[in-house]
Amino acid sequence: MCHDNLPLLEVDNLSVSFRMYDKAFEQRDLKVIQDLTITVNKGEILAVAGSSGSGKSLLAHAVLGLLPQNATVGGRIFYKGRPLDVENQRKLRGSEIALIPQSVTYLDPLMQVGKQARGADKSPKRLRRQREVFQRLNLTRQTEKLYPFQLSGGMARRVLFSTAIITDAELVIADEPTPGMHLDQALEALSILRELADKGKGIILITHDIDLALQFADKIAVFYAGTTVEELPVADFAKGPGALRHPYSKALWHALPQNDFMPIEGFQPYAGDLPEGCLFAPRCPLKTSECEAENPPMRKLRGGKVRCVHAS
Amino acid sequence: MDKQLAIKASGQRFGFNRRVRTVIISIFLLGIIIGIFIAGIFIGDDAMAVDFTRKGIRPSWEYPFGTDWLGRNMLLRTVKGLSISIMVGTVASAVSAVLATIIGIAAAMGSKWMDSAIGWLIDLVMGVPHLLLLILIAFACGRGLTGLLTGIAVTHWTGLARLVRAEVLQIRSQQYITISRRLGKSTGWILLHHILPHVLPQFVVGLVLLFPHAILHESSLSFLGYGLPPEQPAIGIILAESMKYLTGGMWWLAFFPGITLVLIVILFDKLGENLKTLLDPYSAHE
Amino acid sequence: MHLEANNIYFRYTSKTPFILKKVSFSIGEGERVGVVSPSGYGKTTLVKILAGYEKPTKGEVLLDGKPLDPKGILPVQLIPQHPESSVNPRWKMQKVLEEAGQLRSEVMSAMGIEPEWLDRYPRELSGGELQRFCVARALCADTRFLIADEISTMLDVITQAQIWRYILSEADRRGIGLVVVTHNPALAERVCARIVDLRDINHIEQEPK
Repeated sequence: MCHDNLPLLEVDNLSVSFRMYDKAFEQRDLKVIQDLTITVNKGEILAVAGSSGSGKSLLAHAVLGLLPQNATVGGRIFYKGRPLDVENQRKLRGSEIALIPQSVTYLDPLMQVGKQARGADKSPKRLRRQREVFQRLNLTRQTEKLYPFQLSGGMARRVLFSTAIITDAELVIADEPTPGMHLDQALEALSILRELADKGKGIILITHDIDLALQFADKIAVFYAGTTVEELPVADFAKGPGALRHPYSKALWHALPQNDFMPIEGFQPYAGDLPEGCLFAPRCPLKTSECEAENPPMRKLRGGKVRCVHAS
Repeated sequence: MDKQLAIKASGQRFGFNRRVRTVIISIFLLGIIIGIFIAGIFIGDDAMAVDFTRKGIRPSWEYPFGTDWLGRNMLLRTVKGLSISIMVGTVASAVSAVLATIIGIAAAMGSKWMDSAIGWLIDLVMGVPHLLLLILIAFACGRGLTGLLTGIAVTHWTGLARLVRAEVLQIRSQQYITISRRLGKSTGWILLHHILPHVLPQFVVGLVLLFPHAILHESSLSFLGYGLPPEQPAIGIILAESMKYLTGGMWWLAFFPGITLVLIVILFDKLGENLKTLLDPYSAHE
Repeated sequence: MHLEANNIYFRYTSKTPFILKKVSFSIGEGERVGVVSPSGYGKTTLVKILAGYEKPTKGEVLLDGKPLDPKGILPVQLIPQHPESSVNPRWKMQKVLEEAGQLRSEVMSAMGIEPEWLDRYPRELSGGELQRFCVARALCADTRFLIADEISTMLDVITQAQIWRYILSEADRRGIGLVVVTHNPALAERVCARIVDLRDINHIEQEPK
């Protein structure tokens, strides 16, 4: 891992809100992401873990500038130290920053998938790379000539995956890339991401599957209710609750079937119905009056970052 | 969820959001239609009153739509005619829509044999030229109001019936229907609680959109002499009568009744489109 | 009670290959059986047949020696993988529970269902919250066997643990037999007493794609 220069991607206090109908006839702004902060360095896989509704996919869309028109974005995003504005996003999207989207409907239905995967680059080198990736993902030569509607769900997912990683992108954002793939294929796909990272690229792996994240990532950003509560080196998760910083991360650890299989009570609050102060406070065993005052800022702690006043 | 969010928020121009505007427009449209209908009921025999002292008057402040060769007030006759058209349209499209829903559900829920029989019947009705079938049925049922209503009702159900059938087939294959069955619910219970509420919006929109067709066909049938009797001031009758006098320069006899008929049809069409957006469960995000 | 499948064959039409061939499976009262295998070996098809969602092409499913009754409440209940498609999108959640006679406060509090959720439509709830309703519904009074088809794959681990804790305690209390389809070995280990690999009991010839 190279920490010698600027981080590849820095997201600082990102917030995203949507204009929606509240009751039948009233609209209001719904804040779904707030105070979200992550850093991705070259040569790193950052796993973004959290339950559904914690804002994981929206982060990807915000970085790429793919949010719908009724969204308002706050905070700052830096790519290689430069602010990532609308114009930059358009320029870098697909060339330097690639997305593996969650839905297979992103494939062009009228283009052979091999051609789609290679993109505009017609060089023999690109063709070799495409064949290599297809082969590793168990896609035969014939698959290249097929159109998306001829693929099964799992095959389409693998093609989508190849499309993003065949490019020379510096930063790959993988939004839940593995559901629908067989376990061995999922592992192969993730090891391809690992190799890319080892070659110096930055990867954001968005997943709700903590086991997979643990196996392949360098760092994990734990999301809760639209914010980051902890960013930690992956080894800490393996060491157990003592090495974890935030009470929510500890709760995740305890809930895993291979550990205690013991859940905490309650559920993640809704956007629009968030508690005052720390978002995790209502379910937190360490809660004090201090927690209800304000959402604590991210602070550095033991080689990671945490958003909790009690963590030590 | 992200994709649904992509619907652009477009309606902030008038200070209302789109839903509020749609409801206001719908109520306004409905108000006009009901207003014309009620006005027609109160007009009564005035529309028929003959007065030769004022025959053939051009449109003026006193008689905005002019008078005809018998001195009858064309404004009153037109409103009365529209009122009759709205009544005929309501009854015919309601009967037609109910018929369509029952047949559509029967095709989707019944045996394979029933489905193909209904499919054949739909093809048959759709295959015969519309107006021809209408004339045949209206004639066979003895002209007049009954013949007209029967004719329109039994020729207009096919499109909606197909739509309902497809909708029900789609719902029937849903997992929650299977679950409901395994929880011991009968077919009747499932029909009433799962399927009918799903079909209801289709039914309402279909009903309103059938309306313009029903009115236009009523008018054409009356125009051709197979519909309402000549003493009724229906729009079709008014237009048919006016044909003889058009060459005499009395253009207003056909112009105003014709244009108002078109306006009413457009009103209903707009109402239907508005209801469609309101009943769409996925328009919540914007 | 005893649920068994004897020599089940299944294919959708006579032109498509068999998905299940000569599969036999049985589970007794209060037993907990895990079903594992890579996808393509017909896990979902097998459990759909066990729960009476599909009829086997050949072979029979017997509950206490008698075929499943197509009418009435079936004592074998399946919780499908995707809660979104197993509730009527036009129903409020209250009605979903009412349908199974499970609108009771003790069920709701045990399952972690908040009273204000009852007034919402399915699309206003998250997958984890919806799945709680599906579990509560499937555990209605007559249920003797519960089949869970990858019910926690897309849930976060805390919700997963919450839901499984409740299922296990209910199953214990009422002697309900559990069939658990999962690809998560740690979960299967934790929840099941016996594990069946479909690769061993499904006799389809070629490797599925």
